[in-house]
Amino acid sequence: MSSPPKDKWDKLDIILKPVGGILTAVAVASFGYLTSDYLGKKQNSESRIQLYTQLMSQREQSDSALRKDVFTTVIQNFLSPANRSMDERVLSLELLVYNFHESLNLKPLFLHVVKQISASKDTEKPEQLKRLERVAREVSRRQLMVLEGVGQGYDRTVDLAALSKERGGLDLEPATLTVDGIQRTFKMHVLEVDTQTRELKIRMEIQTPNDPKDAKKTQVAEFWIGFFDFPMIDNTRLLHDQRVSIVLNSFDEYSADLTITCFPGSYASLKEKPYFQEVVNQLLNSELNGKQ
Amino acid sequence: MRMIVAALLTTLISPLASAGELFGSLSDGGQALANTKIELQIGGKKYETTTDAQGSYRLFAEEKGKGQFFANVPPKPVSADVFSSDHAVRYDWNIESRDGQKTLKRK
Repeated sequence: MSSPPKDKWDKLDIILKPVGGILTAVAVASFGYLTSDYLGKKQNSESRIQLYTQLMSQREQSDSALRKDVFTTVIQNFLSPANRSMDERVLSLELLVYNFHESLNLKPLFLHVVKQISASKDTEKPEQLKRLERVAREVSRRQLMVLEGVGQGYDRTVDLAALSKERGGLDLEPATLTVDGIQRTFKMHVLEVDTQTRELKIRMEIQTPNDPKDAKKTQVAEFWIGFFDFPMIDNTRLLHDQRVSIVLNSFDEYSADLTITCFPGSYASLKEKPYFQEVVNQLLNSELNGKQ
Repeated sequence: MRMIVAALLTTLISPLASAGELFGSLSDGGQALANTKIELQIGGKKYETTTDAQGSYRLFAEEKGKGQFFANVPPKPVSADVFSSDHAVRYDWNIESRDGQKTLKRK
């Protein structure tokens, strides 16, 4: 009984069987190594993010505590103003503006201090008023630089002589701005001017031609604008979590120069919260985009 | 005494540094216009300068109020109203063509 002679396929089978075993073992080992390597890297990255978040949160907490102390100390100067010189009040306001201009609306305080300075008999009255205007213009310019970087804007000048002759106010040339793919046309009408307070009353008309919900509607807002209106704080809310603001750059007997900026709502002041529905929509959209 | 003089000089010079200043950029169809002669006519006076490689310019006028801004582009200069103020004013311009006519449009 001799077994039939082995052909080349039988020989190949004998050789490949252990090779197959080895390959399977190598594949299992490789899979295990790659999986553990991937999990290790992921864990490493997660722990780094966690550490970063923790550091940021601690820094934020200590920063908030320091800001709270500064705020409490400085605001006392306004709440208990006995024996405080006008110079000290201006200094306190400057401190507040430089440290809290992104989170607080300081316009009422500005107007209050301006009123106090105007009523005082201080010989340095003009210089104090100039200091307030200078700090306000500087902060507006700083905020504008950030907002123009993330949004779009345009400049217009109001001819005050022409405004005094026009009965229905003065129309400024409209402009179309596109922010995050949303196109809007902004029309400004200057209705009144107050040369004492150096403020302008403006009617703003906004049209969104490509938005099916808003296409037929013109949104209208009417307000006074002066040097103490900061764009991050004092702005008009638009749909799709966007804002529009007007900054008064200069004002003299001949003209007033304005900058109009449209920007994402995430750059508005810290005191403003986004609408709940808009947050939900953004989350849903980002999830859908991630799946696609 | 020296401090009083320094304070007085600072008070006088700082507003002058930006008073009557017009600055900005000039472009044609979105393209920066380099080395283009520009002119400001205000209060019977003329102030001239040339745009740099990025199309930017700065002009200083002694007078305040309404003036005329000219950009010397072929075939003929284009102009628009401007205002010189106590503070520097930005005028970014774009030249637009409509019905074969070129116009200066503020951005």
